[in-house]
Amino acid sequence: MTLPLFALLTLALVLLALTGPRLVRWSSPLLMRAPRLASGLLLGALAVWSTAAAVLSVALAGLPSGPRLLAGSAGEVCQRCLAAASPFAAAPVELPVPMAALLLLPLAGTVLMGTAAVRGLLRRARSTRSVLAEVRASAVRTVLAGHRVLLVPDPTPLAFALPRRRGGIVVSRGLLDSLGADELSAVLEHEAAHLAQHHHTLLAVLEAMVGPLRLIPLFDAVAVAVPHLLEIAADDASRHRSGTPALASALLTLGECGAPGPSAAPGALLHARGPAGIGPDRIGHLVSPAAARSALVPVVTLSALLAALLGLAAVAVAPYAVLLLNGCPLLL
Amino acid sequence: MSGTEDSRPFQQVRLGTLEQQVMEQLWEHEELTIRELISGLGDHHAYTTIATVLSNLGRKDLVSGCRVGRSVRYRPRHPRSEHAARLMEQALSSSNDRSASILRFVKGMDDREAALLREYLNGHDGTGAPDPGSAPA
Repeated sequence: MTLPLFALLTLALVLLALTGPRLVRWSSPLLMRAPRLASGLLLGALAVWSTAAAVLSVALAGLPSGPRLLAGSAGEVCQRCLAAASPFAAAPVELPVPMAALLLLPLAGTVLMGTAAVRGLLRRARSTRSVLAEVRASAVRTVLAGHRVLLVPDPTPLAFALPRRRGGIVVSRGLLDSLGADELSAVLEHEAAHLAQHHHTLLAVLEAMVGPLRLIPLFDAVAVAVPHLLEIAADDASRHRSGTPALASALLTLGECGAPGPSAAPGALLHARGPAGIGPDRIGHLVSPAAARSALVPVVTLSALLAALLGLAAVAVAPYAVLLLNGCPLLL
Repeated sequence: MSGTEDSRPFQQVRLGTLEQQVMEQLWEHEELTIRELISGLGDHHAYTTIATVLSNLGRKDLVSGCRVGRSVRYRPRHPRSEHAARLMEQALSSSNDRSASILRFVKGMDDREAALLREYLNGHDGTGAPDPGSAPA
């Protein structure tokens, strides 16, 4: 176990970070068949990638060179101890980066990301809470087709799901006017599935994980794909109960109403980050699911890369784990 | 109506507690003077307070005043339902990058997707689904 391991780990990380978007896109026919499992897989991919990156950084710090972490003889011992446990070259490797930086980098990164995530969540909670409080003030709680909903007196046909504690399913008066009974039931089943399957929580986790790492292509691709997959999951639940035609015609009616109506939001706003072709194709999957076989190779590739990453990270971290468990071999 | 405000409409639509109370009064009574508003709110507020609130609401494009004889009468610019619509717009637009808070059923649709759905539904006539062509323009 020498430098090749380190090189391999770096290679796998970079490869996955860069080819991630393509792999996710090519995998989508298969991912859409099991959208909930796929969302889990993609979130897992992010977790594996982050872990491996952190391991790589820490393992690099294990290369015995650069300024010492601790001063004096304690530092000497510690460094020898690390050297003894290092899976890499026994000969010291000169690194341009101080060892402490390599150790602190993942730590600082984690702390920064955590802080950003918490602040983002709090800010979001605050700003939406005040708007939604007003929306709720004008809404009437009622039961439609067996679902408890908030009915708002808005002439634009609208349906959405808030987290359950914030009110759950919200529909507008305009929705009731523009949909038939079947279609309405399909919409409500869709929203109820969002709630029952805890999609709000999943998306909050996703947002917390991605955060500033969205600059990495893999993270961006997952952040785009998962919301689409969750819509597909909710669609599946709805079709199961109400049939595909009802859901399809509800989507068509509401999708076309998404364009500016009498008092609706401007179309540009609605389409600004619309689904257009980036993520898994919800409508395409609904009306004519693509053959999943073509996606087998990318799914297997993605899984293999992830497994390799996890394996390499484990190999790199194992000696240190042993070290932690058994104590430093030099002191025994 | 919202054409000029689309660039930055949203902070302006949100109402404070007193603003909300004043709007409730105005929606209920159609048209009120400041004096009538004060008594409607239980005589707790100073004239200047209500005048300030009304000028804020005017800035938010929610209230307009017109002089009738010696007094100014205020009326809501939009019915309550339209205000609700604007709030919804605000809630939903903020969900564009806050998908975790609000999951919309559908956010508009491009031509290809609409065509796909129409084609699918035409192939499923007689299944009880209402005619998709009747969607409002």
